[in-house]
Amino acid sequence: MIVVSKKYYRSLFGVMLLILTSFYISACESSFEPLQENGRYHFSIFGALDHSADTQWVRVMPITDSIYVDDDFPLDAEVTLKRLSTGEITVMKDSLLQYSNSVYAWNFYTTTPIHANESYELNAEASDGRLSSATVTIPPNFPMPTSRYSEANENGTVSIFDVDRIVVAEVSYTMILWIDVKPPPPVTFAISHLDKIYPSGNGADQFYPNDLDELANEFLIDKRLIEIIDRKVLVVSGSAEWPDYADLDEDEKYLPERSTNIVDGLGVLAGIVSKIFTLESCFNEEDGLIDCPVNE
Amino acid sequence: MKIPAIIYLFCLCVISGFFPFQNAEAQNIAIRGIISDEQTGKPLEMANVVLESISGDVERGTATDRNGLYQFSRLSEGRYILQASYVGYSTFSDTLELGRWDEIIARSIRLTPKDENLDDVVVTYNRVKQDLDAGQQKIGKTDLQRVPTPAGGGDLASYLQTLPGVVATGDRGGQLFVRGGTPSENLSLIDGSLIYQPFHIIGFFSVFPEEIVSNVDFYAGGFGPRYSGRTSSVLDVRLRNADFEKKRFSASVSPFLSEFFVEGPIDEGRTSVMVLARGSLIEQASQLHPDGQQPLRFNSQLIKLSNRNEEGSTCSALLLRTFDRGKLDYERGDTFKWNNFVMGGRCAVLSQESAVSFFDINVSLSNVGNEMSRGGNRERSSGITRFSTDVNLIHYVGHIQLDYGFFTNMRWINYDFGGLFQRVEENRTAFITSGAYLKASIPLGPKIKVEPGVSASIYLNKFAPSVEPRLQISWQPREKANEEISAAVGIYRQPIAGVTDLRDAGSAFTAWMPIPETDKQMEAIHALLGWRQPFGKYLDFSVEGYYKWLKDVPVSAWSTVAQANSNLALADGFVYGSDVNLKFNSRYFYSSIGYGYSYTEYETIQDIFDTWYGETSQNYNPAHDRRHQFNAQMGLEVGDFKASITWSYGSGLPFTRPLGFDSHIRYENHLPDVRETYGTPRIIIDKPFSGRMPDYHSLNISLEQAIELRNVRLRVQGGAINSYNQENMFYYDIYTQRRINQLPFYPYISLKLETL
Repeated sequence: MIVVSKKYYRSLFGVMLLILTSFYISACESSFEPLQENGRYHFSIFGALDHSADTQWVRVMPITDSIYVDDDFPLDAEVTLKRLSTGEITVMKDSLLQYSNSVYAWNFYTTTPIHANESYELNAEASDGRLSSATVTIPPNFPMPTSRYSEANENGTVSIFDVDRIVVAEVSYTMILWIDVKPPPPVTFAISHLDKIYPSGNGADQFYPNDLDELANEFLIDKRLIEIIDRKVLVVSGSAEWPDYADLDEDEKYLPERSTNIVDGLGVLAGIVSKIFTLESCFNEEDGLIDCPVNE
Repeated sequence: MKIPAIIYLFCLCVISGFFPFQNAEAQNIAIRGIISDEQTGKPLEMANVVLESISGDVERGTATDRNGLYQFSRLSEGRYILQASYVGYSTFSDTLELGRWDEIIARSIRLTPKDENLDDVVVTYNRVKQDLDAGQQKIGKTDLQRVPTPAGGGDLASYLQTLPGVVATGDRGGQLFVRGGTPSENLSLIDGSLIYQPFHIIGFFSVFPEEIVSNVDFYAGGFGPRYSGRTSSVLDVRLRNADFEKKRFSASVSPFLSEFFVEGPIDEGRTSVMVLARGSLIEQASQLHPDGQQPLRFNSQLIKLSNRNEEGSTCSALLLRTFDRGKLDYERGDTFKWNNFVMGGRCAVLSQESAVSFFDINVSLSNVGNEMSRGGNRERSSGITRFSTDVNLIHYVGHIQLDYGFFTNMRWINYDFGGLFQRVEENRTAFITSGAYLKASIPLGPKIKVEPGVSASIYLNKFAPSVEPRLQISWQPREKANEEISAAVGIYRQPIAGVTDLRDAGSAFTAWMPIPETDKQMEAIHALLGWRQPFGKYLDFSVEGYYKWLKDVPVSAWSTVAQANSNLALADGFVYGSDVNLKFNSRYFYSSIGYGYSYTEYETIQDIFDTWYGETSQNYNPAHDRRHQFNAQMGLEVGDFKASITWSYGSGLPFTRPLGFDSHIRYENHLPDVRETYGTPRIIIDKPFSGRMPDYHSLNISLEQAIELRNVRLRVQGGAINSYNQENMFYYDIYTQRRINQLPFYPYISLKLETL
């Protein structure tokens, strides 16, 4: 038989009620700051000022709060390009580009000519004065490389003259992959030869495009089913700012403080001179393979 | 460590003057037996057994161990009175005649429960004296009932989360961290069979509801050599046998769960069976909640067959299957699935004639499958199957109790990480482990007990042999079992790791694999010191401090690339802290207050650090480093009415707090074309886990009224989860700036019908 004193019961219940009430009163919203205060990096800047290009394009984005931004992402930046030898300042124009669904980024462009052997300063400044900047020196101009190439055998030689630092040496192939009876749309794929450049006896640096096997491996297709319809060679001379990835492993390449020349920001702005030409077969009158004439 | 394990163990046996099959006591008479519950066959631990002379003088006295086993050795011929008593049971008494030629007398005793209503003083399970080792907690059905879940009954998962030192990631995910260890470093056993993931995706529930649990030994650290292969904690759950005398059933329904349970004899008094089936309802019921549907689902089925004989020996067979599926980020996250399958058999035998007093044999097959999918496509999967046999024996040499055993298990592991952990190339492996353990319980007088032990394992073609010495010491200054100072120290190793991408705090995908570095096992050294002290009739106090050294813990390598794509690295570290508990138990009111302090620090050496930080190693607090934890629980039981409130507080967990994001464009080999290339998303961080999430606190309340209707009892429970609607963060998606909260204010009513 259970016998409980009413007084005992009431007092226990009262204690529980009191505690319960105090919990309700103490319920409060705690603040949460998911992002660390960032007074260090204002803008992320990527791109290259190219003496050979008609239009210069540079990615300038504020350091964002989330991994992707939408098309309504506000831009609070003025980007200027200053030629240091003359003090001439150009305000770059902005353009919001879409890369895929819900992936956008602000890019800036200008048609102002970029001169070789000159230094430029790019500034990205927010309305509150936060500023990121980069200074680059454009390398000297160099002559158009020469080539001797057999389209029948898909091999040949590209010779580069008077370049201190070659940072890009690639052949971009546009081709049709005959995996069906109907011709599929052409695809383009670039193969780098940067790690296979050798000095030659005539003072040139040379590489040897012979990429059909590599293309076949890349697309997992018999090489006889590849019909190359265009070959573009790109050779780029880079300034000291062009990042050097030698001796870095994959994760190290993404470290913010690694390989950057942006002051109070992130990224890389390099100065370059680029040469692009079509790789094709040129013959003499006896149908012998010769170097193709240089067209600047 | 290069000594072959078996040789080491053999040497220990010789040193301790023991050989398993010698019969050194042939000239003495011994009485032994098992004290159990008449109705359920449950062994009664800490039952008092007294041997008196016929004139009424006490000759010997002892208490039963976890198997209900008692033994008196070195007795002379004559007449004795054997008495056995246990709180809540009628006392047993019998006269024994020991003859000159007797060697071993087996006398198992079944005690009959008293009718509680006729007794003025009912002592709950909690007030039964408990003989605990350092780091150990004993959990019974009453404990589980006192932490009600929103499904009309107690569950081990809910109870464990009220213990200081146990950290849960939240109310979903089914992951428990014990004293700085990760979930995969916890060993969970159900009737001696391993279960890899015993907790359901809704954090209140496990495969251990109150209906089926007999008792639980939970070791937060410092566990003895019987348990091997894990470095953090042990959850050794013993299911009760189904009722040997009477058929019973219960059925319950709530917005979270429906459950059906039935048990009864097949061969009355000898063989019985229980069946339990549970299925979640929250996915359907939550559609009525203003916060919308919770896409979480689980179910489990369990069958246990038990058989016992007159001598007190029991055999049981178990079949268990579970399934969990859900999204932790309801709106767009990944879908996680896991399923367990456990099949096990166990026989616990009181030896009639051998020098070995008691032995149990376990055979089990355990499997877990784990999967993460995105947009309906399976992205990662992992599975592990283990077949295991073990024999555990108890042998007395004078007053020294020797526990020893042998085990062999075979594991098959497969994993497909979809490029998550790049350093792991192998996706299918199998290996065999064999080993043995020995533990001696040596009383040094009536107050001090020393328990040295060792576990030794051999891994065929995988790891070097492992020898893990352990030591437990207890001092009972006033010879009272619940008033004790205890200490433990030991080495623990683990050959397989459950690797989780902990940068992603909301992940419930665990990839089981051997430790990636050849010939290395994860290692921990535990040191514990505890004190238990009752104050008066109702109050129990305990405090325990601990320190753990960790070595070769697999962790995700650090990277600034903002995607779940990483190498594995190994970390060393340490954990220290202390747990304090105060419990009040009276007839109508009970309360428990627990506080846990813990500090966990890892040190990892990774190739990238030299470039990143200019030094080769980094120290950090991992994602489960909860510094402060406080739980308060109160309950009132008057007649058929029960009220309970539970308040939990946890300080914020570490998370990676970025400076921001950008997209990184590589200049390698090709000209960067910003118009065509977006780049690789990059997270700008000083250091992972540098931030802290907000503190967690929540108040759960429940009221229950039982109504008796003829032969059944209806329990009506009403309550609320998170009753003051605290916005507790479950995790924060730093990539998308999305905050995922735990359950909001969630009222419920549950109904449970059960036979009287």
